[in-house]
Amino acid sequence: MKTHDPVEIVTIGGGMTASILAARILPETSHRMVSIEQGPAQWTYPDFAHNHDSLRFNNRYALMQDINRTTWTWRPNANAPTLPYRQYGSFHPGQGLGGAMVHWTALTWRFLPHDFHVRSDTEERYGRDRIPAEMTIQDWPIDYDDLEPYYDALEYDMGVSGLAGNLDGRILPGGNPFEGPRKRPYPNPPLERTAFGELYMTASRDLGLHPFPTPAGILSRGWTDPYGNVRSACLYCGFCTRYGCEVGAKTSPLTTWLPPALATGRYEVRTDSRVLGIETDGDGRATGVKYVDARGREHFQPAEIVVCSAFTLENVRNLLLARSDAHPAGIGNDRGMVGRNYTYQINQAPARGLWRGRKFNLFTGNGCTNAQIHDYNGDNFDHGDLDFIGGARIQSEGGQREPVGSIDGLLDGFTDRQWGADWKTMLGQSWDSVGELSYEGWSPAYDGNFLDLDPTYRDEWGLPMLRITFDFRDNERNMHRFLADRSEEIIRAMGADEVQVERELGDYRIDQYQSTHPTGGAIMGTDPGNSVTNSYGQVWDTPNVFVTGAALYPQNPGANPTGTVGALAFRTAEAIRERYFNAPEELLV
Amino acid sequence: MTERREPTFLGATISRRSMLSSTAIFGGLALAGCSPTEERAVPDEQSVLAPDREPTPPADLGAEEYTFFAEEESRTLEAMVARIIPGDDDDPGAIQAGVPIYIDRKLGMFEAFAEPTYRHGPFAEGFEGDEQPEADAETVPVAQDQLYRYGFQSELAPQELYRLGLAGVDRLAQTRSGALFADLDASQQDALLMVLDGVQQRSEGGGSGNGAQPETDGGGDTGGGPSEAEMDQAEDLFGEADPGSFFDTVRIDTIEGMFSDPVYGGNRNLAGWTLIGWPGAQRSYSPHEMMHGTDKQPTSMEGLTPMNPDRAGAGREALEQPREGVHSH
Repeated sequence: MKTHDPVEIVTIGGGMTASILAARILPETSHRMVSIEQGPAQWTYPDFAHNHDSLRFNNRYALMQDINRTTWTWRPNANAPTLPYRQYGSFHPGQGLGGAMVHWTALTWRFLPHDFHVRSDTEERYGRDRIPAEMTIQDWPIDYDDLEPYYDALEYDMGVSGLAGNLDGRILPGGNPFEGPRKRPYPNPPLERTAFGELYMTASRDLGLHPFPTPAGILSRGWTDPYGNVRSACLYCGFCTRYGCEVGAKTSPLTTWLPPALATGRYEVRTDSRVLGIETDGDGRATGVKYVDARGREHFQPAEIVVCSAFTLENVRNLLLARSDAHPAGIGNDRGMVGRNYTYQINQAPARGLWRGRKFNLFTGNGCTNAQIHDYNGDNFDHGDLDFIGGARIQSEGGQREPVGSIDGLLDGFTDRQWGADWKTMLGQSWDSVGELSYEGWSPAYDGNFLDLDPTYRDEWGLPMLRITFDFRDNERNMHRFLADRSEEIIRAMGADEVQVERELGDYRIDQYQSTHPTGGAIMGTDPGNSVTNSYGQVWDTPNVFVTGAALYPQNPGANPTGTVGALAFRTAEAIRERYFNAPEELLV
Repeated sequence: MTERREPTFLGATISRRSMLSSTAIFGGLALAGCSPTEERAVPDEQSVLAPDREPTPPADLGAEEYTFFAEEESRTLEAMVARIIPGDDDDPGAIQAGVPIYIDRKLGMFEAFAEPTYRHGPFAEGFEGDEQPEADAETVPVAQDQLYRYGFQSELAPQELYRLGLAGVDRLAQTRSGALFADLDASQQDALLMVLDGVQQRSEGGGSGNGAQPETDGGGDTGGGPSEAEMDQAEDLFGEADPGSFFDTVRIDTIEGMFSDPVYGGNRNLAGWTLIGWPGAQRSYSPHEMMHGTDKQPTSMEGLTPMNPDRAGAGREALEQPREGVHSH
């Protein structure tokens, strides 16, 4: 085993949060940082210069983690059998330099102020008995105001395109009136919309709702960011989610944080290298990470800080795998908190419409060339007479429709069979005349939904896989019925000739894509009795280990997690840069 | 929104090559062991058809011969895809678009799966009723009506599934109608495929989508589906392969072959894209096109101009991102 020169910081994974830490910590210090990345190096140019191959990227998952070698296992509840996630379905973790942020859709949200204190708000407004005993939701240890400066900095680094709805308390027309107050407008104007997005915008406004353009980490115009990166605007080519962006208009570590980090000469990313474990000394302190390179040789990278900055599920797994005499159940797990509050995202398309003879140009644009409402998200509406708490954002289908990813299931319900002459005729007439409304709903935490190490299945390196125990509950089923009704109202107002409504949520199934938003499992909190880390992602029982990313979320609100992942990473970077090394291994307050 | 221009797609400007016909296809039994992957060309950096990241398109599309399917198998497969997406020379379907060759190349060039797949056991073993069998080192018992929630769980590689499935289709055709599937008339073929489709629907709790039956206010009536007895018979005759998964695999592969880039062997003359009005691989759309439609002709990846057409020997370095510090061992 080769032991490398020690560095201040080593990260597991070379994705979004690792690159943010490097870009925000290294330039103003003399620290050295190494990231161990399981996938290959990849750059806007030349790697994404000819990426319009929907079969390779959409159906064959060219940018996703190689689940031939390691995957995750799942069961719906603790009494049910467990099986591996053998092919991609429910979620799509990425691999390669830049991580999943290379192939993301780029919706960039700030969570609602309510999302940070959902338990205390709910108890205060609706009474303690509104929260089921099994529902283990808890307040975040920080609130919206704590994060606002970091959201702001993140949005300007990324050049987010959007329309402000609440500027310092002033509600502005056309934006999201439910958002928390922001100090500055979005750095760039909103993206263009497809004809379908425009129809949704008009119809939902006519219903008295508050539609606004999707805030996107995709540039609506040329942008020079605070680091001096010069970037092009989106070409609306229609190949976005699951692809790398060929002009760098979609923000990723490649476009934004890697250039300034690498320019210091003190940041190194070792690609095609897989971390096998966090090493600890006799006192339980982390000493670095062990990894294996592409040729199977083992290495040890010593460091003063180890950061779990991989995908949510792998971060939780790496904590659990780090078992030693000092941490018999793994790092962060001295009180059995790791794996608790595993949540996901309820992402469904309950209403689909067919407009005979109309074309919506849904093949253009990207996943953000649409509009949203937050009227039914969080506690933006009265739940007094409803049989659930929480909510969702509702959006029209974006753009970027291409055939091999859309045709199967597009005409479900509109034709008897999904093959044959009638189906073919209908497909020819209607491929661009069918559109859907989808919602992205919150995922509350429950006692019965959790992560632990699988007792049976092991990966290519002989390590136990992570086992996911997860299913929906009545709150989500009831919320779905409500959202299906609201979606139907909107799609009928949009003038669809035929409408399909999915009234029931059904059981969670791991074979259908919903979102790549598994969250929780290493949650942040106010003390070691209710969480794995403090608000900086610093692990209570091992203070030289940090966790970044959505594993920190106590529960997942009704919006994509990436914006808050970024804001939290900015805040952690600042704390490490300014304070951690003044008193190493002390807990930050 | 009142003024909209209909986009036009003039497929007629594309020259129609001679269409794939069954007489042009030769049995490939003797070639079944060949691995075309070994003959793949070295990627050219400026070619949109030769990416440097796996999985890559097949390199040898010249020949019309099957390299994976035996002659009997290819007859059955052609007959199946011809019912999944029917067509003729005026209105091309799966046969005219070259879908059987697409499927043949896909099965020939991958050792097993074209997409990442975790293939280690123990594997699921479905059971009916309340009495759960004991788990052992080789199998995980799962209630039959819950199995669909776990997604793909088969031990069979696609190559084995096709071999077993095509044989199963012919056995079922013989049993039902006394002839091979390819020799049945179209309505008999459709009835048989509906049985297979029915098995797939039944395994997902009878519905589509999330297992909940969507309400409809416009779709047609569902008509007389296959009976339980017909579906049970199909399951018995297919043996190790599941008739529902086999049908769904062929259906999805047919969609892939009809609508993926021609570099993969299907979608000849852009028949699939012309059918649905997709302009294919394009570099950009304007806001006006997003709102009102486009006149752009369907274009394959081959017709996509390089993003940065460098001058020979110069210019490239200026576009490179900083790489110092990023490396493999």
